[in-house]
Amino acid sequence: MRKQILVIDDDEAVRKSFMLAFEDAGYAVDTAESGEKGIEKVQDNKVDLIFLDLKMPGINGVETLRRLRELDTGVPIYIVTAFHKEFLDKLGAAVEDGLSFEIISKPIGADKINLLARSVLEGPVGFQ
Amino acid sequence: MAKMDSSEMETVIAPKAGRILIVDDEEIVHLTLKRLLEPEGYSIDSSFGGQEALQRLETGYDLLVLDIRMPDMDGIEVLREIRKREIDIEVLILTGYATMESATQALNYGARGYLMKPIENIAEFRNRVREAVYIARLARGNRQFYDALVSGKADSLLIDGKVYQVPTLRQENKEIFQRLMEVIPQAVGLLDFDGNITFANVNFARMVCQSYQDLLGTRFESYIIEEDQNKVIEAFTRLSSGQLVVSIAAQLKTRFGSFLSVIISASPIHYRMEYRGIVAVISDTTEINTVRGKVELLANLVENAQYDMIFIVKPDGQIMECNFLARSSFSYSQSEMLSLNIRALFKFGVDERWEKIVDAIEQFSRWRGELIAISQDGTEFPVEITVSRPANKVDNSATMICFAQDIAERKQAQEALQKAYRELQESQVQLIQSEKMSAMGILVAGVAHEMNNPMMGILNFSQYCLKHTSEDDRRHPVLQDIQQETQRCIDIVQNLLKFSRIDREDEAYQKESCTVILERVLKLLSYRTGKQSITYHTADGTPEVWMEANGIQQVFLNLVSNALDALERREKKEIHVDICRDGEFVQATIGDTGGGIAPENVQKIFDPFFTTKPAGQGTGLGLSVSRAIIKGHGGEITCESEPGIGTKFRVLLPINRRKEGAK
Repeated sequence: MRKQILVIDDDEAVRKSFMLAFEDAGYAVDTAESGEKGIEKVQDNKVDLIFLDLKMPGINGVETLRRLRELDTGVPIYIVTAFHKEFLDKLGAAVEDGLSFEIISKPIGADKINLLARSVLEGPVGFQ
Repeated sequence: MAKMDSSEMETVIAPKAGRILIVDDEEIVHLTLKRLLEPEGYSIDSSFGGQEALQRLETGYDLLVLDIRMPDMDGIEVLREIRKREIDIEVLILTGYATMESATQALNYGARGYLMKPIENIAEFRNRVREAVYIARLARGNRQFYDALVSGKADSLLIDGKVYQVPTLRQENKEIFQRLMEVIPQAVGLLDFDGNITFANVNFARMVCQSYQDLLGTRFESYIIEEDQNKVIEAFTRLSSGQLVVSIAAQLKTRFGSFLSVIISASPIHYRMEYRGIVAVISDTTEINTVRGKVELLANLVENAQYDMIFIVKPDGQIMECNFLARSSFSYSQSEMLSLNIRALFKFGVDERWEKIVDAIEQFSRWRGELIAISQDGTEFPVEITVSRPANKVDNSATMICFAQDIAERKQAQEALQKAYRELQESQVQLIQSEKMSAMGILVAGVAHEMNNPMMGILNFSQYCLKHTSEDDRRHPVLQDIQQETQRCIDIVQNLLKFSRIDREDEAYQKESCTVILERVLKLLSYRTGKQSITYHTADGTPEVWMEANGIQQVFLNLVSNALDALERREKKEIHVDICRDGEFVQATIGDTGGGIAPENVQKIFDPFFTTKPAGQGTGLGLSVSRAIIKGHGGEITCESEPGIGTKFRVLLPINRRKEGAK
């Protein structure tokens, strides 16, 4: 069974970027254009890796992270961000509440995206 | 009269005759005085004690030269006895410095003056004697004539060998004598031994506001305020014991309780060998006291002026008076000052020569300017000086008043103020600059953030296309270019973001070695290095520095990659980095053998968006970001460059400064 990746980002260019990067990688990739929709998808299906934007209309990335962790899934979540100052503080609070996540900085190219996904989903193979 | 100006004495034509008795217990004094005086034509006798002298005096002398201290009786005693016996004679006291006080006291008992032992000025001594003898004879003649006039007992008199007619005094003249008492402005009172008033003129009654009829028989001291009463009674006692005149400053009290400042002069009245009472003359001194008080007040004001050196000078500049501050500022004594000309105290320039100042005062009544003052020890200080000619109602002497103020402090304050003002202006410029930068930072951050997502799109889309294009396809390298240029855009945006939030980030501080950071940077840049010779050296004992390591790494990265850029078209390709301790700082210098920076650009290289790199190769942010990071650490970054030789950047980082609030 193919590993399931979910990209939650309100920007279509970003969602498309992930889709194209993973085209032949052998993963099932799904996208959601808001936090709410992303949470629904996680509730409906098993997800192995989530890429999450911070700045989104509706509920933002930090709130989405909080609700996803409330669902009690241990799924790895990568927050893809350009380090907006206003969200960093909230993110800091999330760390203090014990919510686990990783951060990668935006923009990010296809090679790095693949490298990251492989190391999370298949262990640190080929990751130096 | 104790002493007279010698020039005045010359005008006295004294007869070179007269009888003199010298009283002294020392033989040598007699010998000396005789030798000095006999050539003058006097007949001179000697006594060696007071008692003997008194006996001899009965035989009639013109002058008694009297020693103040003698074994049998002192000079004062002799004087008292002379007055008591109404012996008509002038007395000069012989005194040394030791008995000066008694000699002065003797003047109150009728001595004419004193002669100092040893005698230093013979001419003066002779003059004094001549004068005393002359006055003795004159007074004796005057008194004889006056007695004859008043008593009417003689119609002619023989005085000094000459016969004088005595006019008859008519009855009405006696009344006029009595009226005389009333026209003199002083109050006159006659007192008996106990101090009761036996006679007074009407001015007396007016002065104490009493009716004349109530005045007679009252006690004199009852018109004096209580505090002064004892002083007056004591003075009167001295009169009864032989003193000839007393002068007392006292206050009268009037019937209505007001006070009057007066001088009471009193003398004993002897008549027919007996002490009969006292005559007291009272002068109102209120006005004099007021004027004197005012003068003293003004003199005090001038002398104690705190900020003004005050000089009174003649038009030729001669100093006539000056105050304390003037003397102390110039380190001259009062007498030194009075011998100086004002021109010696100030450096008068060509345009401020003293003559010109005087001319200016003639025209405009005052002159004001700044001069350099020179004190006695040669120190110079700046003064502001005002010279004016006061309106003088008393006489027309053309004195001038100079007020000078030491303005050294004021000048210093002015300079300090100007400096502070300049600094304020500079810092204002800096503030405006940083305000601008911060406003721009916010704008840049906003734009950069918005660009992140589309950038990510372009990057990934071009990578996708590249992946699906055969390397043989001629579009392949173009797609590679797209990818590369997109990466550049991303770098620019990252730099902009870093720049805009440089002082807002609370990055973690840690202790780190600059050398470690440098090595990491060189590793990161290894893809670019090859032909260049990069050397670095760290001095022994260079400590670690509290730093935000990512920031410092960024700085080193910028500086080393700039150096690499500078070496691109150079033959000599060398970079040398030196790290060492400099006091409380660690210093890192990064030098290259590049083409250097044009002098006009050295000032600008830290300005945001300033770049000399070809279009598309630099953002112009590297150095301004670097400077912001270093400043954030409390450090400093400077640049020295010599066109054609190379450029050296110097970074100073404080060793122990932890950013406030750093976690």
